[in-house]
Amino acid sequence: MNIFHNIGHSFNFANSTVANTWMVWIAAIGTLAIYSVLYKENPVYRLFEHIFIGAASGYSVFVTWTQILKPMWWDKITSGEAYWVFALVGGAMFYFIYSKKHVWISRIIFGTLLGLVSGAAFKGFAGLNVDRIHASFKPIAGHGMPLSESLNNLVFIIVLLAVMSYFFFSFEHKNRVTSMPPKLGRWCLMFAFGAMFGSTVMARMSLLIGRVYFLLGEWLHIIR
Amino acid sequence: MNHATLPVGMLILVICALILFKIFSARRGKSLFIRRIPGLSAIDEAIGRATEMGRPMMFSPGLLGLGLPTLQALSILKHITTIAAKYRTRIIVPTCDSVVFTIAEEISKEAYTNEGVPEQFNPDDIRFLSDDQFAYASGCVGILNREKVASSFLFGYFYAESLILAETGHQVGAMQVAGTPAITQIPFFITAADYTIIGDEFYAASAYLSREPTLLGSLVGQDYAKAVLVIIIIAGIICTTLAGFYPSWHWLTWMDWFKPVSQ
Repeated sequence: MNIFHNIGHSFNFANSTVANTWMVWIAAIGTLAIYSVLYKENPVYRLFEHIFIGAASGYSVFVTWTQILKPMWWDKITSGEAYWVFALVGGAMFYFIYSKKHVWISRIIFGTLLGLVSGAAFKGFAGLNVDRIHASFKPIAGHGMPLSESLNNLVFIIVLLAVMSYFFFSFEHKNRVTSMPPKLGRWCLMFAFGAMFGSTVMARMSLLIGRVYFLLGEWLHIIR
Repeated sequence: MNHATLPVGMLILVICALILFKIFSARRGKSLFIRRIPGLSAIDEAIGRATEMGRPMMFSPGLLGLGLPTLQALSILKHITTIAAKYRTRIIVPTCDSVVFTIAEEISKEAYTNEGVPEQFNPDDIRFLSDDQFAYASGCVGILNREKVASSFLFGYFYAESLILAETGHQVGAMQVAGTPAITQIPFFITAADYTIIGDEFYAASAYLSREPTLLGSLVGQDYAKAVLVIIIIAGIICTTLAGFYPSWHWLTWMDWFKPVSQ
């Protein structure tokens, strides 16, 4: 968003060197202030935390109006679809939560919302999990099937069934027969989580490098 | 949009029937067994720790709006707030969604009222921080540090902020219990939190904690449904393998019932 765009006709502040320098300084100070919490919580961090939260809240109000309310509601009313005004009634019902006398009105809309969420989740079962069931039908042998594919599928099936057994809650994993598959499932889960952890840490390191590059390059001009 | 075929529709009906059957048998008084889930058992320990130390707790319901993970998180919040109200322990709930904020406020108010101490409820402890991911995270980090939180509960759907929250909780010495269905974030909770609830355990939480017959019946019914799915998967694997050797056996094509159908 170019907030300075319309200030003045002959001078575009947002694109000026002065504005650019200011933006870089604000971003650099903000970055350092937020990172300062790594040492300990301090007044500078506290100040920038509240600026961050305030700015994000203000921005979300702006986005809610420009991307949701205006195009999906206000523009429709002003272009003749007047029945959209009834959406306001549904929205306004939420605010009755602050009225002791009429709090029941808000419960109608909250209940409706919870029902819609539950219904959507129920419908999602057919769309999501049934596909997964079909995807798990993997052959472990066949005419002309390479050994590597057979092994691959076998590992997939063993891991799938072992992990599923871990998530059975209604029997105790006590004796050797019932405890082995869940134990194997748990180990498989931990291997997978370890791999995910490693790859995500790498991604986070690249984010950190980007931020350090900004501080040393754009701000301090030490590196180019 | 995907939709169910007739066999899949029937499978859903069978699953629903199994769950309903177990719910009704639990309501009739049949005792149902649920195995111990260490992460969920640690919740009471974490509340006790905060009570003994005389310091507050923090409960984050995640970064998602109203959805199944958040509803589950809110039911765990209800359990924690009820015990917190009993022991007069403060619980701070930072939220990132206005609807979740309102529901969390109602849940807390009700828990304190049910425990006979409505005056103990402090509306300022239920906070709307921001719907921006990292603004929310920085707000939670501030709360964890300033309030010297003794126990931190992270339940709900989290994204990249999960490690920021869990690591800060670890730094301030809080006992942490975390659970999320977000598979990519579980590794971070495992490394930084004291106890982590993994995957489906998260959805078992409300039944495990409340021991309410309806919820217990539903959980055991889901186990039966999972057993049916395991049988279907094993049968599917056997038939797919056989179809590789005997392509002329047309009865093996029942597996196509589970093919995704798009419209």
